[in-house]
Amino acid sequence: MYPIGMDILPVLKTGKLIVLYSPHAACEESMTLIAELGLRGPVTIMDGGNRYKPYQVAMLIRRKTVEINTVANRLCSRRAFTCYEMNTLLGTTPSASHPHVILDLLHTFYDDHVPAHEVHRLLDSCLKQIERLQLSAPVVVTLAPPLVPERTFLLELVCQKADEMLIKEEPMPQAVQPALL
Amino acid sequence: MGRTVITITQQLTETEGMLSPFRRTLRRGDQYIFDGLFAAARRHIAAIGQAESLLPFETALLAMLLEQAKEIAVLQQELEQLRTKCE
Repeated sequence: MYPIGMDILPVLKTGKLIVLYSPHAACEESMTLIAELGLRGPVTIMDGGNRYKPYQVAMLIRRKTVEINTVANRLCSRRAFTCYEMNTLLGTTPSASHPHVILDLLHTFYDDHVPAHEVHRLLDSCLKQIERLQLSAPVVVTLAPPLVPERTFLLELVCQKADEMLIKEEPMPQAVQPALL
Repeated sequence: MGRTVITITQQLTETEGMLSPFRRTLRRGDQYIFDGLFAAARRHIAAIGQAESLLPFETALLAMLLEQAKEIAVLQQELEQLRTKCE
């Protein structure tokens, strides 16, 4: 387990599952990672929590190159709005040699309208698909804390499969000296 | 299913927010001019959206220029009218 802040790129290797965990699903870090990977080659982005910010990625790419459209065309993004869609999305993603970034994988699984046993079954299926993708390329998954404590087991299920785990702690609120006058 | 990409209005507001330290450092008079530039860009929000640019702020800068060019054209016209009156 490492704190986020270290360079993720050297850790990315085929067969490895990297998990980034932070209160906001490592949104800032993952956008930087997508931009960096996009500069190097194609990337598949699967978004489960509406975390992908294309304008932010475009700005990050523009800082490094003027060939912004070429790089942007290498980024393939797909979105899932329910856990069923996430399962289908992962199942229909072909195994490719370029990296896969799965943003806020568990967001749709935290939906309390879906029973826990169903969520468990779907996540098992998703993790099998991630294992399949891992065989041909590195996979990065970002996670956010569960919305309800009953769904914490989902987080543990994903973390058990992770090869590397990077955690970003929420900054502690700084003590502020109140004004004397 | 909601929006997947933020609107151009939101994007412009975010950019304005990012530039707030720059704005704060400007003189009061210059701050009014700065706000005017963003107001000018907002007059063309639909056109900026239609441009489908990956960097909407670049198109917003063009919208600001367009408004300035319009003002210059109006001033030139007024100047011509005054010249004709004087002659």
